[in-house]
Amino acid sequence: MMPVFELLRDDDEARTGNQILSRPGRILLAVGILGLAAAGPIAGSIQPFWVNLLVRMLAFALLALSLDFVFGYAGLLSFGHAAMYGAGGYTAALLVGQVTPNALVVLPASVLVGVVVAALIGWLSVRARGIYFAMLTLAFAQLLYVVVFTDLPATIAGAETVTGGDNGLYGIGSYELAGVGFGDPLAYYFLTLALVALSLAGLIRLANSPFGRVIQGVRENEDRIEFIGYNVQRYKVIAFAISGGFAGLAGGLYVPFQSVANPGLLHWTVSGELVVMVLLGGMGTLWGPMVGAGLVVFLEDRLGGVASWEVILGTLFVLVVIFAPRGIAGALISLRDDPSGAVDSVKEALKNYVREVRD
Amino acid sequence: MIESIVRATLLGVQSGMILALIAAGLTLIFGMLDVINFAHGALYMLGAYFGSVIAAELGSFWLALLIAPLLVGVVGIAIEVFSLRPLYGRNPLYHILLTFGFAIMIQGAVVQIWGGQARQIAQPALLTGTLSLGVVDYPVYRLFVLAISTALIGGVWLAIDRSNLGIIMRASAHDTEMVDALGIDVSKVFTGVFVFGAVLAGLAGVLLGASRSVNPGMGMGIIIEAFVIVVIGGLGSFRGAVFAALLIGLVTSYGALIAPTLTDLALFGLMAIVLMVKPNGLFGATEAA
Amino acid sequence: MSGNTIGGPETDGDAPSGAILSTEGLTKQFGPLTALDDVSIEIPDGGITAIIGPNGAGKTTLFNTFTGKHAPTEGRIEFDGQRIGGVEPYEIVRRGIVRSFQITNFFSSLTALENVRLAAQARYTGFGPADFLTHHASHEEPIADAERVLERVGLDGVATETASSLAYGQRRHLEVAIALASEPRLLLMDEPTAGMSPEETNETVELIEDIASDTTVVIIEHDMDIVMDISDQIAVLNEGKLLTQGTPSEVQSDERVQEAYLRGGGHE
Repeated sequence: MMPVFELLRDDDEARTGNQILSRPGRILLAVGILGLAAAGPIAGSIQPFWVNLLVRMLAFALLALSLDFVFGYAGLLSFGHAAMYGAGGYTAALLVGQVTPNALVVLPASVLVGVVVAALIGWLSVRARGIYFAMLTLAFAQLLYVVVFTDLPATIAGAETVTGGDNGLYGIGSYELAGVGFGDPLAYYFLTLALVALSLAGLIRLANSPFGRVIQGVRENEDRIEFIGYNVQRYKVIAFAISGGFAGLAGGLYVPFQSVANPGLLHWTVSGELVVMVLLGGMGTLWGPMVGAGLVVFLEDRLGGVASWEVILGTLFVLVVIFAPRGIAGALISLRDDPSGAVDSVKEALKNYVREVRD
Repeated sequence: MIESIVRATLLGVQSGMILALIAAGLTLIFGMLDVINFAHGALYMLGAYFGSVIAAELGSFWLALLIAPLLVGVVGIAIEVFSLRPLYGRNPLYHILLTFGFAIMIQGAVVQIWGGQARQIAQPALLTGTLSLGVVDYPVYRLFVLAISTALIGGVWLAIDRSNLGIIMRASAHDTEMVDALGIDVSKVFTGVFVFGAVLAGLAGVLLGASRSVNPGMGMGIIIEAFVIVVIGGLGSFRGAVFAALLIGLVTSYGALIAPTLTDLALFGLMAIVLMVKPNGLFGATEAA
Repeated sequence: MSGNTIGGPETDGDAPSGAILSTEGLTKQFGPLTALDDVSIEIPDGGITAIIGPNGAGKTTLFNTFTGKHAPTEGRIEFDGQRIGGVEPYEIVRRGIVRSFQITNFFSSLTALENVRLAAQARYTGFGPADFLTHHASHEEPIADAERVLERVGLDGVATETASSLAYGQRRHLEVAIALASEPRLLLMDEPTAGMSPEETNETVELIEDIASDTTVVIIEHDMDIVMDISDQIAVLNEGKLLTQGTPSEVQSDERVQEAYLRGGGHE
């Protein structure tokens, strides 16, 4: 597969000591992607429903990846990523429903709409910093939610319905590409996996590009980056817009698969859960948040039948924050670096915890 | 026409003061502890549920109003001591994840224990009926809510503005080392502030639970509104929170007169405009030159 | 190499070419407080100019108006014949005014080399396709520039160490290296020797003199011995006003200066 080669090809020596993902890490990622490609048919042969779950996990992994690029990487905490996700999703729903099911038309349109929405929100928000930036993105995302929920476009255009209001749009068909339909969940799974892998490879390349270095500098020290000659606001808006494009793609992949687009896609709780997925997975690592998102979607699905799944999920978040603040990725990295010290460090963490509580 | 305006004004001020009870805790906790407490809505909901159980079991709204917030306070102590305390000084982002976790956990537990259906808190006989205010007849219970929340907010205002406690709290917000040097136990102050915020939220839960319904979604519904208020007022500013709560209360209730579907639009639009003009909120500290 | 500089051709150290930067009636107010009051100053091209004055005299505010952090309330600032009042900080850096900070203000989790490379990269990068799609390490020029600057400040041995792991004196040199990587024509240094041991101070003074051989340097400095030793020009600020400007010996013998600063409890 193309993306796999792209991942491996990135072999410029890390002369600056700042390579994102070492070569073994990239090989591991490629193996993981190949593993997922193999897992699809196997899971499908056991129980078709598993493929469905895998697609949803991948869509959210992509969404978490898009957030991590701007949050973990550029230091911009977006609490409004649901806006781009939903915008991409509705774009796909409207285009597939009324124009064409051609994936080569619809998916780029979803990306483009995500970029435009993000560029607009970013442009209006980047002067605010930290939690105020987060709250501005939240405000604009909720504005968009209300626009979709109340079907404001229909009111303005005088049409009967555009977004479907409260109910949303349903009965959306699947994609087609060069005469091949993606109605089969397994085919859709491969389409999704390919695009997610391509996105990951693309974002890793972007993170290592001159542009990527600058936005990492913005995260590290926003004031100084301006005083070495970079237009910080413009870098932030562009980073946000790029991230929005991938969020839009996630929406464009999710909606036709579920065949439903409802306002819930844009609700702030989606943005909130997304932030949690990124932190849980380990922000700033790109792959960690994808694992985190996949895990949360998996647990939600598996524990959804158990009445107290929210309690379990909430407890998991709390324990991770207290005992593994760098998330799953951080825990795995420290386990790799020092396997024998793992038990000791757990003991140490517990001791610290008891001391802090008593203090 | 005049009648509906007066009614909307009363309703706006009343819901504004109730929102101020919730937002006050949120902003104090942020200002002092640097914690963005996503669990605040869950604590508010917990107050309503505790209230509904106490009111049903003991048959007294007044006992519910007294005991339920204290129980919420106990939950607050547990959260602060066992989870927040080990995290002070770490990136505030972790507080978001932590308190978001608690919000989900508490909501799940509530559904688990009391089920998903809405519950009620019976209003006390003393406060049923309406009172004629000249132009309008207004429910007695709502006037009671208006009075008690205004009194509470006024009390907190005075406490922060006048007393030693207020000085200590403000000092520890700015310089914990200084407070340490004064021989004051900062961690006790932090616990106190968090619990105080929790009690206020619990109280608001009981008060609103008796006029609206008690349901598992109420916490997530109100937290975002409270955040909007706190951000508009300026994170950490008590005065700002009260002012913004009244503003939002009035905007929402007048908005309902004009275009009910667009009040949410107004809410978030207002926040966006305020932040674009004043990036740190109306009463927020401006960046030092 | 100079073909790539945006700031224009480099000037010779002692070329008698008049002022590189000048202000006229520069005033900066923060609300009711007047931090700079009608300051008209000329920074000669080449050499070292020191800005001295008691705390609160407006020295840092002056720097901040030069670098674009604060737009002046009134008055004009001209750099190389062009007005720069109100120009954005990043644009001013590109035109050739760069500052280093008193407190170490770098990218602490990145390596020393990456800190400097990032600053050098600003002169080469923009928003073209290659800036997004190529690997940063495939661009040789910024790396070469960064390595050269690190060597100049004596940090080539610790290039791959994380910035936060450097010793205090090394951090301060890294701070200067980041500023140098922007290839300034005018380098503003805020208390470059603050908190240093005598040995580190000597090294830094040598470094400043070395930089001044091809770059105009303006320093804010409290140590009078250093000021008198290395400055070609001294400007004295007091309560937001420019008291006087001249050679070290002129300033030293100025009665107003002695009254306001040297005698009246200056800083060690």
